[in-house]
Order: sequence, then C-alpha cells, then structure tokens
Amino acid sequence: MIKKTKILFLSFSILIIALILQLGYLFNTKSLTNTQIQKKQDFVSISQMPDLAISTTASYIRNRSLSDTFLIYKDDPTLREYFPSTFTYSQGIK
Amino acid sequence: MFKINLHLIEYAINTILRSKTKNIFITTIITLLVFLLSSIFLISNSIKYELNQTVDSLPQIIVQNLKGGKSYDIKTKVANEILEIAGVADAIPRVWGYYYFQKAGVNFSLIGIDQYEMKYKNSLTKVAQSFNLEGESMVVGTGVQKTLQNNYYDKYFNFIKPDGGFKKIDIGGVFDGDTQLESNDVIVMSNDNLREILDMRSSRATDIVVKVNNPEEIPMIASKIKAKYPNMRVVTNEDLKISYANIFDYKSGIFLALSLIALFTFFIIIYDKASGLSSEEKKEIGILKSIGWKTDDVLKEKFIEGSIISLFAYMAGIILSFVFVYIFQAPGIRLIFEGFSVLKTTFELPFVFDMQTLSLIFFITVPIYIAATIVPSWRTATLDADEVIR
Amino acid sequence: MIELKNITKIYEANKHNKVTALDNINLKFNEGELIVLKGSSGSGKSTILSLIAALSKPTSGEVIVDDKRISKLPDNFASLYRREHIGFIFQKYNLIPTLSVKENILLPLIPNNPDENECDFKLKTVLDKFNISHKKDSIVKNLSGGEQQRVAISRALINDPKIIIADEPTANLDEKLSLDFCDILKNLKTQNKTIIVATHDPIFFDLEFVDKIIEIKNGTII
Repeated sequence: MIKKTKILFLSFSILIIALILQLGYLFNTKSLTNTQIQKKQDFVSISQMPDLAISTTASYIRNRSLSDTFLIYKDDPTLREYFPSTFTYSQGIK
Repeated sequence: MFKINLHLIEYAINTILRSKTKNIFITTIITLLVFLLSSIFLISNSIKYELNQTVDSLPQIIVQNLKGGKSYDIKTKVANEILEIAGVADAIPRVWGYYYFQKAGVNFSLIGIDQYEMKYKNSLTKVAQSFNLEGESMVVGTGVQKTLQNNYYDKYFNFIKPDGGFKKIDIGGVFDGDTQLESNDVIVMSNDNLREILDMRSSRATDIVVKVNNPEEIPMIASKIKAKYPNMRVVTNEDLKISYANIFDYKSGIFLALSLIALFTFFIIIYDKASGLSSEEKKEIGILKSIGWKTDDVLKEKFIEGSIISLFAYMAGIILSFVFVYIFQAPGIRLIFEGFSVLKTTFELPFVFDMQTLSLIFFITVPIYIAATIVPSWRTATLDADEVIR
Repeated sequence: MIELKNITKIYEANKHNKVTALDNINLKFNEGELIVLKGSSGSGKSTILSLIAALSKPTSGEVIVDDKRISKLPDNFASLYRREHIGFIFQKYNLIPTLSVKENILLPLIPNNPDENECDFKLKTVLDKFNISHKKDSIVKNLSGGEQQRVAISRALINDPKIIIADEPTANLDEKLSLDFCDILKNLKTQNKTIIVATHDPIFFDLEFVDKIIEIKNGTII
C-alpha cells in the first residue's frame, strides 16, 4: 500500500548519504592543506602583490587592486566608471 | 505524538506520478536553476577563500603616484619622508611591472626583491622548487616556465629593454605548483635587474609599501600619508579585503544573467501554478472534501507534493554542482571567471563549504515552489465542496 | 435522527439571477429508515442531500442530525462529520479516474492515518461485499458503469457510516444493474443504516422496504 512512500524515503536517504559522502570526500581531498596555505602565504610575503593570477592579460584585472584609474575605459570609452577609483573600495580615507 | 501519515505521502506521490511529464519538466528546471546558482556561488566562494588565505601577508599600506589617473614612478625619497610619520615601522620602495612577451602573446608580472635580504632567501627556499639566485637570475612561476620552454627558452630568457637592447637573465628556480594561483605569471628577480628591464632609475620605484607598528593605526597613518601627498593613492590592506569580498560580483552578475533563462522558466512555472488550478485539479479537491477530507488534509497533501518535487530538485542540483565544480573543475563556467587570458593557470578550486550560500539557494527555490503549490489549492479547498464538484 | 427546519436555499449566480432551490421546507427522518425523495430534475432533491451531508450551507433554517446543528459547522468540522457519519454515492460517482479501484475506495481513510492491517481488513470487506475484488488494481476509468458504481458504493461505505445518501444512483445503469442496486439497499437497511435516495426512477417507488416517499416540486414538498 505504501510501497511508493518507501521508495521515496529510500531515494531521499540515498541523496542525503550521497551528499554527505561527497562533502566528506571533497573536504578530505580538495581542501587546501595547511602546508599549501603556508606556501601561499610565504609566496605572497615575498611578492607582496595582491590578486590571483587567474586573468593575466588585462593588467587592470591581473592586479586589479593596484591598477590605473581609467584602464577600464580601454574596454569601451563610453563605459562609466562604476567602481570608486579602480577596484579597491576605500575605507574612507579623508 | 506526531505520527507521519504515510498514506498521505503515498497519495501525494501518486498525484505527482499522474502528471509525470509535467512534473519531470518542473523538477528538471528547478534542478537546473539550483545547479547554476550553486555552481556560480561555489566558484566565487572558492576564489574568495583562496584570496583570503593570503590577504594578511599583503602590505599594510601601499602608496602609489598617480598622474592623470595613470600610475607613475614614485621618488624613493618619499619612503624616507613617510618613515618620519609617527607609527610607521618601515617604508620600502618597491619595483614591479608587467612584461609583454610578444612572441607568445603573454603578459608576465615582474617583481623585484633585494636579493641579499636573508628573509627572502629563506622564504624562497620554502616556495621555490630549486633555488639559485646567484648572478643574473630569476625565479619564475610554472606558467612562465612553460611559456618560455614552448618558445625554446629553457635555461634563460632575453628581456627586451625599453632602449631596444636585450637583458639575459637565467632561470634560477621555479615556484612550487601549490602556489600556482598566486605565482603562475610571476617572475621574481633582483631590483637592479628589474630596474634595467623597466628602465627605472635608482631614485625611482613603482610604489612604496609601508609597515606600521600598530595595525590598528593603519587607517590613521594612511590618512596622514594622503594628507601629506594628496596626489597619491593610498591603498590599505582593509581596502584589499573589502575589494576581495566584492570580487567577481560583476562577473557573477553576467553569469546570473545567463541563468536568467532558468530563472525565468522557474517563475513562469510559479506563476502558472499560483494563478489557479485546472478544472480537473479543482474537481479532485472537491471530491476529497466531499468524502471527508478537511481543508487541512488537502493542504497537507499539497505541501507534501510541493516538498517532494522541490526538495528532490534542490538536493540533486546541489550534488551535481559540487561534482561539476570540484571534481570536473567547472569547465565552461570557469572561462567566465578567468576572463580572457592567454597564460592559463591549471588551478584547482579549493573546497569551501558555505552554509549561507546553500541556505540562500534553498530559500529562493523550495519555499516559493511549495507556496505556489499550496496557495491555489487553499483557495479551492475553502470553497463549499458542493460548488466545486457540480 | 435527521431534521430539516425551515430550510431555504437560494443560489445566487449574480445579483439579477437568483434561483430558489428550496423554499421553507421541513423534514424529519428517523434512524434506520429508507427514504426516497421523488422529483424531476431541478426540483431541489439534490440540494436536500447536499445540506444533510454538510456539503453546502442553507441560506436560512437549520439542519440537525442526532441533536447536532450541522448547518453552521465550520469547514473542518463539516468535513469530519462527513468522514465519520456520511456515505455519499454521487450521481456521477465522483471517482478519481486515474487511480485504481483500491486507491479510490481507501481515499476516505487516508486522513485518519490508519495502520496497514485496518486498511486491508476494511478494503477486503467492501470488495467482497460488492463483488469487485477481481478488479481491485484496475484503473477506474477503464471500468464499466456498473463496476464504477460499485466502487462508488464501496468508497461510501468504507468508513461504515450511519447515514447513506445516494443521488440518482440508477441514472447511468440498465434495468438489471438497477435491480442489483436495490438489493444492495435492502441489505444495507437490515444493518439499520439511515438511507436517503434522491431519484426520479420509478423502480424505487414500488419497493416494499421503502419507509417513506417524499415528493419535491419546485423547492417545496408536495
């Protein structure tokens, strides 16, 4: 009589278990280890440069926090500047 | 004691199966929506996490010279003047810049360090695979090494100087693969060599990094520097932190716009459901009321129906997005975040579990869908049963 | 006992289009009686049945069943009353066509959250009684008119109600099946159920086990 309900509960249980197992696996294998974090911190203390090397072709994205004020205009001269200065948000230096 | 009515759940399942095609479509749309939203949040959370691991190693204050909005060399003596400000522990002129390797069409970030500083030697040992900064040598990121090798530069590289001449620098080491995200396009060399390549006099620097005695005084000292040099830009590490928190917001926006189709379909489904029931569905509710189902029972059944579909879709979407982002490394979507970049990193997105993101996505899908299922049924169930079944 | 006191029911399609289905009628039925409401279509007999089953509320007047005023019951209580006391056999059966025979019959039980054994027992009892065990897994829309009616009757009786209401039960049946239905009624009467049948089928007017025949015309009792 309640066969389908049992199948439903089973399906949800499988989903929940799959999610938990997945999270566990990812946590163990894909998290940054302390060694890795330490290496990154060591590198940054040498380079002293912010931002990641994900996008390297446009300099205003490579080190976006330190780029020229109007470099974004390279994309389109009609673009209005919608970030204060560049991509850093000032804390309010008066 | 609260006892789960399994028969009601069974009836709800049967009701769902009765409109199999429609419900499969709805479930697919919600799964897709959850998948897209969750993927994009996971990627941006991972990148923000990566950034936040190193933000405390960054300079406390950076002072840049701006002329007409363009950054310009700064006089090194400004560092000495900044040192005189109370609370400043150190002010170091920094040399860095970009080098465009035309043949490969690739941009490198060049960073100068004073090669005789002990602290650099120690740190470099930790993060570079091999290390030999003697003579005219440099340490490069893995991406740089690959690019140079592809262009037959295995052991050294000839930089083209601004005067047209060449500067040969040996490859003394390669940064560890674990730092790829930060170091992929980076070349670290001595300040003297870099000055030659960038054609920068020794009395000039790219910018000045300032260290303070008491971190809590950073904003105050930054404002003092700004007051002393009103034309200069002063960036604090707090500014960087805020900037990181907002990172990829506009790119996320682009992607969310792409998800608009899924969002749009989702809301059409909601509108369709909420605007009323078909005559068949109304009749069914009327029949149930007439044989003794209370309005509460009808609504409970509709709640179960809505929950089954939306919860199933939500969980499936979340599971799929985790697999897509962390195991397959988000092919396709990554390109949007990476932007156009000739020198690509093969970085792995680090796993970050953010309850807030998952809750946000939950609340914009599941309760809305359940409400859209219950509301029209409530309207019908509260009418006189007689009216409905006639 | 069922009593209708000064019942008036007016259906308002809109302000200018009112239909008086019942006009100040008074009726009394005793427990265990089989009553036939006789009248043509639109005479108001179905309305009386709706009121007794608390499917609708009267415009004025009271419906009292076993000393309880059911005409003013709030929606949830009205549903509960129907579940516990009424077995309604609708003219068009009002089965859910895409569900099986078994699923349709068990529908009234679902809100009570019965256990499996109770369900199976009650189901078996009605299936055997009305001779449709062999069709219990068939989808209702694939059944004949007579079979559907037996499913409707089974569903109405699954909760063993005291009051059984039938609205034009033989409208879609041939003579043989109509007579079969009369046998079922006779059987139910022996169990001391109160049975009210609204019909214009003359087959009911000559049955010896009918206690009362009440004629309704244009919303009033003749």
